[in-house]
Amino acid sequence: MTALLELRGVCKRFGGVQAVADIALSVPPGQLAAVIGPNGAGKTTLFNIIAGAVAPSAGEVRLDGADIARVPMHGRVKLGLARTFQNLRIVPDLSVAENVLLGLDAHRPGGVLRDLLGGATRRAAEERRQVLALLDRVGLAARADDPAGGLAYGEGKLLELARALASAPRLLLLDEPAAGLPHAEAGRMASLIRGIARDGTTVLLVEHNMRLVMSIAQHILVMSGGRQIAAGTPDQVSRDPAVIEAYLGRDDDA
Amino acid sequence: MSGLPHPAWLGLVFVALLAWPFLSPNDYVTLLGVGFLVNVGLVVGLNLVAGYCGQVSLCHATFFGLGAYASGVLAARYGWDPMAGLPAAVALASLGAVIIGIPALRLHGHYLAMATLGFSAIMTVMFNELVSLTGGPNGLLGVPGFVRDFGHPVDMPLGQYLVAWCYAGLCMLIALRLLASRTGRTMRAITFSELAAGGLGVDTARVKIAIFVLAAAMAGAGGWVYVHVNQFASPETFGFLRSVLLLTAVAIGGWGRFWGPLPGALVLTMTPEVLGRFHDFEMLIFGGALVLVLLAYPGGLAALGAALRGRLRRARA
Repeated sequence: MTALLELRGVCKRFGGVQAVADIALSVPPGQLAAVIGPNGAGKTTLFNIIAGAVAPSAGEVRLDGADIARVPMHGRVKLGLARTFQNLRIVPDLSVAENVLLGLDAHRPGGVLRDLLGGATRRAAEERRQVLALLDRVGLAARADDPAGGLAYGEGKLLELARALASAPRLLLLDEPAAGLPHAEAGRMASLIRGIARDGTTVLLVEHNMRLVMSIAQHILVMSGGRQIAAGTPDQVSRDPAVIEAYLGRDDDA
Repeated sequence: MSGLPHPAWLGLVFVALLAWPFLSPNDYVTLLGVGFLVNVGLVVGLNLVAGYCGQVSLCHATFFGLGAYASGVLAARYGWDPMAGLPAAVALASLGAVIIGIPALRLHGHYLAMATLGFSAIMTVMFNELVSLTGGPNGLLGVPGFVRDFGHPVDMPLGQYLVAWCYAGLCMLIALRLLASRTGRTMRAITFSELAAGGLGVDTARVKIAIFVLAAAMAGAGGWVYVHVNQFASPETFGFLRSVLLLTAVAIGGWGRFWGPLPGALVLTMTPEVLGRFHDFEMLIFGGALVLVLLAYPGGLAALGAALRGRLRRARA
């Protein structure tokens, strides 16, 4: 079976800094995979390479077998990739529901001219139903018509998730979904993500929160200094001496 | 989208504006209304680009000029009917926007401001130097008016007012339709964060270019109204200063506020009338007042209106 997401020899150099070095990763359809590593390990750069926000210096990025290295960010969304942002990027001027609509728009044809000539309003009721279903899934349906700028931080994270799901992605990229969340909310986020994966969406998350990753991920890539230092199931990587060293330091340093 | 009025309100406001030529004591005051309506159309377009898309354009008056000269030259030099000049005005202004916008809006940052500044300078030179077409610094003379064949000179200002009224109303209606549609949402997302919009599947460059060209087309149509009302065009009307003043009018009205262009254009139209007697100090006073208004109300006059409405509602409750 071909992997949904396949990275081969991915490198990124920023001037003299090798942010990502020779990373390989294969995520089969339906898997919940995670990339972890200490600060500055290159996780976010790798994430941005997959999302299309950063171009790799070398290597291949394949989605369902097709090389997408040259596809711009917005084009990747049309190929079935959706992402959330580490720092909230919900549009505060729009309502909660309108933020989700932004995600729904991704797969609808049209342009400025078509919008001017009308016809977009015909589907409004159907769109509303879809938006409420998505918001219900993350528990924000009651806030649908509130301005998104008024949401609490944790609610913003949930809205980002709903908005990413709105484009019905094949591959969902989550950039530190639990960062900054209190314990209980992080647990709720974990169960939401697990549910999304169970429903058949392939998920790749970059995360700091080890407990969250260990509890939900099926496959983990551990990075340090831009390189892979370990890969495998949560059990395998948590026992890996290289991982323990990267996170806790070497015994003889202590 | 949040902050957009029901279309009926727009209709009501424009029906009320129809009263102006009947209330005005003389033709001069009626023509002030024409100037105001042309400014409304210009500021509406620039508000889409600068207010809603967050792009700083410094050549909006150039597009206004391209429209004015396109129709003015065709009518004065080649005997075209003023009505036939409208498509030419819109087309030439749009073409200018395509040429500037496609390279500049593909890049992020201040490239549009720089490119439009350059375009403004180049076109000012062209308006001045293409003497055989534009009349150069002396201006383009002999442009026919809209209602030259009616033979009732008394009706002229009213007719001109109606043309400008249609123009401004159409610009606001187009803006309302656009902002209420998916594109309106997309524009908000782009202004907030291009990265986020791209990450949601928005081809940000394409949307920005489309809005930029649409705004230029509106400005071109405004130039067409202007040139056939004044029956004259000269380069300084379409220069860099006018572009800055238009951007200022967007700020005074309120960036990305639907009603903003109305107070913005009003201030823009009335300033020379009120401050004209101060001659050289006009711009100084205008600039100082602008700084004070924006320090007190960063959201512009439209935001001030919204705040007053809110206070009134609370007071009643």
